[in-house]
Amino acid sequence: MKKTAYLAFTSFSYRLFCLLMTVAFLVGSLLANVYVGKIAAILLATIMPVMYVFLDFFAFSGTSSRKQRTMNFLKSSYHGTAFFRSALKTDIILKNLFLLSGYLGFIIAEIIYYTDFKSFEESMLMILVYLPITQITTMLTLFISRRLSLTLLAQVSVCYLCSMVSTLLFVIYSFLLPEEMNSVATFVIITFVVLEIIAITLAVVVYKDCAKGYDSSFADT
Amino acid sequence: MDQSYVINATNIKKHFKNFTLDVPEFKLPQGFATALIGENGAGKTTLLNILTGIRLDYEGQIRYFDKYSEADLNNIPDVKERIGYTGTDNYYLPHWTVGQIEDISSILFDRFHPDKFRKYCNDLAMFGPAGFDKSKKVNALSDGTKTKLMLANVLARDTDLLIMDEPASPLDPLMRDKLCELIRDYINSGENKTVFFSTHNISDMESVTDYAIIMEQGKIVEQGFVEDLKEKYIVVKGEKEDIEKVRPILYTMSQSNYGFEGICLSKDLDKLAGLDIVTETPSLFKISVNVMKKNSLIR
Repeated sequence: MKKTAYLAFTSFSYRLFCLLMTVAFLVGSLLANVYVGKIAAILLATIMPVMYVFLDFFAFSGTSSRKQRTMNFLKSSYHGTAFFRSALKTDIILKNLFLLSGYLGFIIAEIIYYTDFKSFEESMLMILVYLPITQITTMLTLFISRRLSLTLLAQVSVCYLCSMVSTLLFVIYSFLLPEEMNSVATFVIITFVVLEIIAITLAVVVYKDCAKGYDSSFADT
Repeated sequence: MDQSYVINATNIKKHFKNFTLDVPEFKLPQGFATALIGENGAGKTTLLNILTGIRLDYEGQIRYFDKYSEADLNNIPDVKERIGYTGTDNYYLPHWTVGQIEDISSILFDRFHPDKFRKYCNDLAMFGPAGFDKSKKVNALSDGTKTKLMLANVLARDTDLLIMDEPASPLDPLMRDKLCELIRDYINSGENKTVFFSTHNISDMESVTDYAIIMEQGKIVEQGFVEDLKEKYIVVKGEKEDIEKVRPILYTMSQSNYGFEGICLSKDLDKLAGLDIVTETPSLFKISVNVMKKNSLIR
């Protein structure tokens, strides 16, 4: 049976590391919530993008670079373009699911160790903002790293910088929250919707940019 | 018998900043091995990339298998399916493993046979005595082994035309000999199988070359069946005192303290009558080098 484009394009070790990391983040965030507290979510929002972008280097580095001339093998096949696009699409979707799973551990901990609704609501509202911020940071860094064909160290550095900026933005955001809890919930949900739209748009941009990089490699311009 | 052509191209043009590929007419004879010869920067890779659809930013018309247009190359799966292409660098992603390449080939090409691929990998001794190693990464392979990998890959497919960019360059002499054998086997494996390869290793590849195309500065300056070219040109050697007499007649000439050696068109041989000269049939290498010398910017 033929493998899917994603399974063929990415190595077994890449997929294994992605999976192990996802499990580690899930369990880690669960334990962090229990033993460190809600503040651990900041750590999660900073580390997760760095690690996934680090791993991306081993599968998709430089694939959207306009100077890439590295896939003549794919270009020699009629199915090459569809194959590459399919692999890209699956990877972007999976990366977003992996990021979601990181916060899932956090949510599970909240359910298991449920004390009162107020605390639970606070945690959920926090995740509603952290999740899209993590997605945006990851997608933004992927866009930069894939486009510029960065070295591994540069790629991680850029991502770390992005994570720090996003965390800083979250801190600023927390000061903007209204005093009343009901107003906070509305404010956060609106923020979540807006940020999630930005995150999804960025994911589409990353995908399209990679696809365009591949298409442009058929010509000099 | 009329010669049929597997690729028929007209008015192929590609402009770069300081270089223009300009091929008014290009015909690739079906059922033969054709060598594309030319110095560095002559436009060989550009031409091959255009013919294989790796490069799409060019002017001109191309007809494949006397049936398909250049637009069909990317619209009808059968065209690329019938063409096997091996490049130089930039072919595989460096972090891909041999196993991944096998999997990807199975997806990309409907007529790819994994068992044949493994057989060719083993026959070409790519992984030493240990045999097929699917975990080996492309960036861990030597240039020669990367070429072997590309060869194993295209030969494991059912194709009608092989287009290879510099397949001999990274290979050792033994493997070049094997390459000639593989090309010959491919040509003989079915009716109208055609091979088109660029090369700088003219001597090593001469035994397998039926037809030669010589390029210089983006233009085809000579082409023909090797046997015809060997009749068209003749090597002339003579004494030092005759140098000035033969200079205007010879196509190209090099001189030493003892005399001269050059190549001339066979039809001009009569003009050398009466001179103390020795003639011999040129090799493809000699023809190519002298044709290139005549048209090159190298002085």
